[in-house]
Amino acid sequence: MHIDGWFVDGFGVFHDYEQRGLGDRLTVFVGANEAGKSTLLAFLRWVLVGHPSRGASDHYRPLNGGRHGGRVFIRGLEGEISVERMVGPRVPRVVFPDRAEEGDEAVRRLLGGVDAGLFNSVFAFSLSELQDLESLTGEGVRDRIFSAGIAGAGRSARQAIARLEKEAAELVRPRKGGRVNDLLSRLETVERKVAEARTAAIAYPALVEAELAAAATVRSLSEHEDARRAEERRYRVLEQLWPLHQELSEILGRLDRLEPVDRFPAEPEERLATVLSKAAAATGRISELEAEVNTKSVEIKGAQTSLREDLPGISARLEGLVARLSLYEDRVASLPEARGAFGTAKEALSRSLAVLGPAWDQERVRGFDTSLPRHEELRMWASKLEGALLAVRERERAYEPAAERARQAEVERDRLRSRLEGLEPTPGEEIRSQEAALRRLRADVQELRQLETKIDNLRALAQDREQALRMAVAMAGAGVGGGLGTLLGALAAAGLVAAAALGWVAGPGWAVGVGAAAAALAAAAYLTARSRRSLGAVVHGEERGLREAAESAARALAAAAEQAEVLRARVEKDAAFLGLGPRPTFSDIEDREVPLTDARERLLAREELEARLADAEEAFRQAAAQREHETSNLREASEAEGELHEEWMRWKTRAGFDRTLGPDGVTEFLRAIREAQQALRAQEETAGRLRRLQEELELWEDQAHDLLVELGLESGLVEGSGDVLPRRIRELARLCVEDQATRDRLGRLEEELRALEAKLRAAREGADRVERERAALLAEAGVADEADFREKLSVFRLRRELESRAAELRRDLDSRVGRGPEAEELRAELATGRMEHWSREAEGARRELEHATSDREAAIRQHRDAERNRQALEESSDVAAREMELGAVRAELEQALSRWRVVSAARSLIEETLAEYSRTRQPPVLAEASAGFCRVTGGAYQRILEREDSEGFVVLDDCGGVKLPEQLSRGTLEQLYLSLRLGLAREFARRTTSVPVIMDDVLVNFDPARAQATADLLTAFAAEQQVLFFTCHPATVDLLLSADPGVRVVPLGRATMR
Amino acid sequence: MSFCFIHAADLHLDTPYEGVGEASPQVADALREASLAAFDDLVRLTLERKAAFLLLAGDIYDGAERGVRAQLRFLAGLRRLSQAGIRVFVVHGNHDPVGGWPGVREWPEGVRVFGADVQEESVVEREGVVLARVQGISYGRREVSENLAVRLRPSEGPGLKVALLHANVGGDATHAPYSPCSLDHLLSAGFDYWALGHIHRGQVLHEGRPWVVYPGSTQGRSLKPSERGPKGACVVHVQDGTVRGVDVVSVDQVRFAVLEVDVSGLADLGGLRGRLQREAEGLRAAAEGRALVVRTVVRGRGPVHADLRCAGSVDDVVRDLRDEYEGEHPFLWWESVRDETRPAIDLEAIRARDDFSAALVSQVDGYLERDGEAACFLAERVLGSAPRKVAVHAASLEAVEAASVVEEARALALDLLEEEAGACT
Repeated sequence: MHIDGWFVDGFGVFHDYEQRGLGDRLTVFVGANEAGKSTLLAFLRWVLVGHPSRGASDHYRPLNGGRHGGRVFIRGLEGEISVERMVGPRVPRVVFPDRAEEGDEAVRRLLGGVDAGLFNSVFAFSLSELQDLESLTGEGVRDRIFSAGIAGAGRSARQAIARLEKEAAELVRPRKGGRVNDLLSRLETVERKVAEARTAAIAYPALVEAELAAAATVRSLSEHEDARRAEERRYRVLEQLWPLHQELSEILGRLDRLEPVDRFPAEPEERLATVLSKAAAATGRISELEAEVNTKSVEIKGAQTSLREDLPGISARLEGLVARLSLYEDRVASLPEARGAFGTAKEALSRSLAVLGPAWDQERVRGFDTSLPRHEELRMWASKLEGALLAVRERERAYEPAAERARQAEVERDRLRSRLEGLEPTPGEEIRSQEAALRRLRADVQELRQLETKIDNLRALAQDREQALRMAVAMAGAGVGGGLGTLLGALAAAGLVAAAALGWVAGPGWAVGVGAAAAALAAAAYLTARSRRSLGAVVHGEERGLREAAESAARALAAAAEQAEVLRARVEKDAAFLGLGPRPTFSDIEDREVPLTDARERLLAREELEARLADAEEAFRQAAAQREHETSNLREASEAEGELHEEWMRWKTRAGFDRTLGPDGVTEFLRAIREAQQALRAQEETAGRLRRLQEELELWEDQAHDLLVELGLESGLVEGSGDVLPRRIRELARLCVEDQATRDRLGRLEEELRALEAKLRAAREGADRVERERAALLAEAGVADEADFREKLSVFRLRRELESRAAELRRDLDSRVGRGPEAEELRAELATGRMEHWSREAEGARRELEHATSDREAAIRQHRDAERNRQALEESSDVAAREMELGAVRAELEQALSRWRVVSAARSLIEETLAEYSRTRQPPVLAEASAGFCRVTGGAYQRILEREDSEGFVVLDDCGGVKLPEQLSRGTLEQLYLSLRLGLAREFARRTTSVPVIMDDVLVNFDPARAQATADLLTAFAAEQQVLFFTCHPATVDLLLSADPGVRVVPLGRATMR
Repeated sequence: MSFCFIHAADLHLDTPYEGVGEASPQVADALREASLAAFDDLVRLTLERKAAFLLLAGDIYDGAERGVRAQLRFLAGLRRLSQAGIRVFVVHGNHDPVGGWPGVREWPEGVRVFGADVQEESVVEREGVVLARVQGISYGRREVSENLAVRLRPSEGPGLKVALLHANVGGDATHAPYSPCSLDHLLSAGFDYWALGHIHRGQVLHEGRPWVVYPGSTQGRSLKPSERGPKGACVVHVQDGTVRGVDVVSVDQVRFAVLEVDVSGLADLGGLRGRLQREAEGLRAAAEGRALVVRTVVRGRGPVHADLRCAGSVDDVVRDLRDEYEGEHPFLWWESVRDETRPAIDLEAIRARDDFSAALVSQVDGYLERDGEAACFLAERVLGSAPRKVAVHAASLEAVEAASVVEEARALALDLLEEEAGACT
């Protein structure tokens, strides 16, 4: 691409300034100072890439009117593109040759992705910017200079290294702060804790030993303490025992002085009082019992005089009669009801026999079969007879509609038959053939039209390809062009043949089109041949493609023509069959379709009627068959019903029924016989019951009568009074009861008398025992009477009291002193009575005990501490916990170190590769710049190299010496930077796109020789890439013209400023 | 007469867990308690099965300095067995050679701890019938290179002949070669059952006469292959003096698992999280109600690689997963997510280019093709420039092939060189 020109609407001094027709090589803009060179440079920069910082355009406000902004015209392969930027809208407006409009992104695309920074640093610079090293060491520019070709598809190797260094530094740092450093520090801490915990664990046996030793000390001190405590207790005991010892001595003295009473009866007072009391009670009881015996003897004599001796013998029989007496009275009362029931049953039987008739007596009724089987048989007959009758009725009901349907079907058949006979005949096959031909004809005509359109399109395609081929030929070399011309000639000939064919099959229009295409091909062949000499090398691949495309188009055209011929033949044939012309239109087809539609409707009506007649005949046939079937069924049902009736008559005769009775009559007759049988059974049952009642009454009366007579009493049976006999029996029963009660009372009195006599004997024996007891008690006490007894008892009790206290004191002393040698020694000491000595000794022992207790408690504390230490260690999970922590830290460390190792290795790999790559392959930018620099300096400097620290570059002089840029003169430095920019622009063009280079008077500091060499370099550079050179020095213009007389010179001055 | 006995080994009571990163307090507590709880379950199993005796084939502890808590817990378990009349036979292993149990002053009745010299066999009887004759030999020191198996010889007499030994049979390369012996020797030694310890992955080396059995450890303690999966003890069924079968019963409390996931086909980190959760549910279903410690290794090429490569992404994934499973019982602890994914880079295509990446690949190819070059590169260019302490620790990292480190570094470098600008923001 190159800048073809611009239009400045208003920018600084410029207004309405248009420049067009700039070539794609070197153009020099020359003008005096303030002619606007810098403004123009700024305008181009601003329109194309905008200002890096907002508001910069304010510096170039329109001074001479016009809108602030303008357009730059860029020419590329696709034509002229206008890039317009005005102050206001933030984005430029890019207008393409096809009038399509885009914005900022399109400009960036046109410039191969160059942004404002890169464009202003490398492609558009002034003299002052040329000397600015920083503009070349910005990240984006520097990478392109030093690392072009080093970077991969995206990020540069240096960026990759920076990222890896950053990650590695986060992991490992020389001193501290990195994750690995932290983990290592933590690892040391945890390892120390683990070691401590392990050491503690190893010391466990020592802890156990310490605990055992502490326990032994506690035991020893406890024993000493116990001894001191015992000593103190001994003297305290002596002090406490001394009063007891004194009291015991006094009691023993008193006992010596009392009368000796070794024994005395136990519980003496209670026993004496008891004996005296029991003697008085026995005497009183004997007197009471003797009075009761006399009274009871008198009562017994009174009862014995009122007893009867004849009643006990008949008591059992009398009880039986009394037990059945109430039943007897109930039977006497039910006798009239039994007699009434018998009379009623007898009358009912007479009525049933009367209903059956005179021929029926009790015997015949009893013997007639009215069993359930007979009833079942009768029900079966009734069911069968009714079923047969129902079957006949059902057949009759089925027959009548069948006969009606047959009649109606016959009428419908006859009606349709007469309608069909009235219609005219229609040729169906012919009508269908014509319809099919008409459908085919319509489709073929439609397809033929589409095919014609397709042939038109193919013809246009052939023309397009012919044009493309002609252009390719124009660019191709003469040798290839000859081949192409031959091909085009061949295609033209093929086109003429196709035109002839189409003229025959498709008509003159098609033939003209194809003919035109053939003529175009012929023309292309001619042009190809004519341009043979002037064309350079031909791109063979492109030519082959075009040739194949042209052949393909010709083949498609011929195939379409052939298909059209086939279709046309089919159209002519179907049109003739339908009576139409050879090229019918859609209107002709529609006209022919009208009568055909009428005929088809008539045909459809006749076919429908024929179908309906066939249906009617079939319906009549089926209805007649059904009617015949129903007639047969009715006949069979009637015959079966007759046969069953005959069988029924025979059964009635056998069973003894009247032949005239129907099933219901027979059932009714059977029910009357069953009623007569029931009345007969009722009469027999009531008669039996009456007879049994009378027999039982007579039996009771006879037994009662016999009993009364036996006792010599009147029975009353002869008197004929119904209630006399029961009353007599009841009186006799009452006499028996009273007699029995008297006998029972007499027995009880006799028993009571015997008991009283026994008690009296026992009371007298008890009085004797009490007297013997009193005498024994006095003898046991060794006294003669109760007074002596009581006096001796008081002496005995005093001695017992003193002896008891003495024993108590001895027990107390024994319990406190104990037994054994020590106790004896204590008793001996007690006998000395040295109270003061004992108090002194006890106090001394107490003081020693306090010391011993203190020592023991201290030992216990030590033991507990040892025990706690042991238990803590036993329960401790410190080792496990610390090791767990250690494992976690190690795992993290391992992970971090592994990552660090990979990251560091990756960084080293890239660094090594980068070093090797830089050493063996000088980046193309430096190579290009080195060549230019060498040329400009006349070989004084040979190469430009990247510095080892990658932060800049050095130059090699013709002796191999290395110089830093700051060691160069100003002019040489500017030559170096110019060479670098040209190298960069060239490499960018090679890799991306050719971007114009714009520079403002960059030769002013060059000596004549180097200025000439630079002019040569610039014109040579401009042969491949556009250069716009601004200068205010005519000599520079001459210099450039001497290098290339074809350089275009554009003066700048007042005329360009409005 | 039929009976059963229990065979366990490598209890490593109260030992640390190797290679597990920092865990939550709940998980750390559970891990610390796991080996002891597993032993409690072993005792419970022995009591429940009414076993005739229990065999413990060495490495009850990691060492004398391990702490007495575990020793006393061990002693308490033995007391319970003693009170139930169940005999226990123990040998010392390389981790707890003779004299390494300072916390134990006296063994309960019925417990026989074999010494480092051949001693008289123990006879186990029930109701006057001899069930078994047990011989064993302990490690007198940590490193025993002598084949102790040759010192054990069966005696004549009725009963199952059992040998108890801590040894490396057949030279298992994943474990230290202590008391090395061959399977052929064990088969011909005349015992009926070799109760072995030392190899942490349970395996039956031979069935029939004799049975040669490693029960494996009772509780896994790292994410190494031999420590993953179910851990427990063997229940050995004997009838009429012949071993009829060996059942393996799990007693472990926490299981270790490594989940390997290929990210190919996953669109983003959300998809990865979902996939990991689904895979984890599968692990839980198979864990018999045990707690789980899961390490995830994500591999393969796909868009997830770019997401994971961004700083903090892996930590975020781990944090999200831990939050998701927080408070569950039994717990599932996501130990870490190891990113081994690779960018979708075609090395062959890069080799065919003539640019910086191709030069880098060529350089790495040189390191990988020549023996020792990769190791030299790491030693000089990576460890050589590192601070001394860092270099020492880095050099002692788990033995990973230098070549694989260089390959990983190559992947990372290419990742950065070839990546689309702004992939990580």
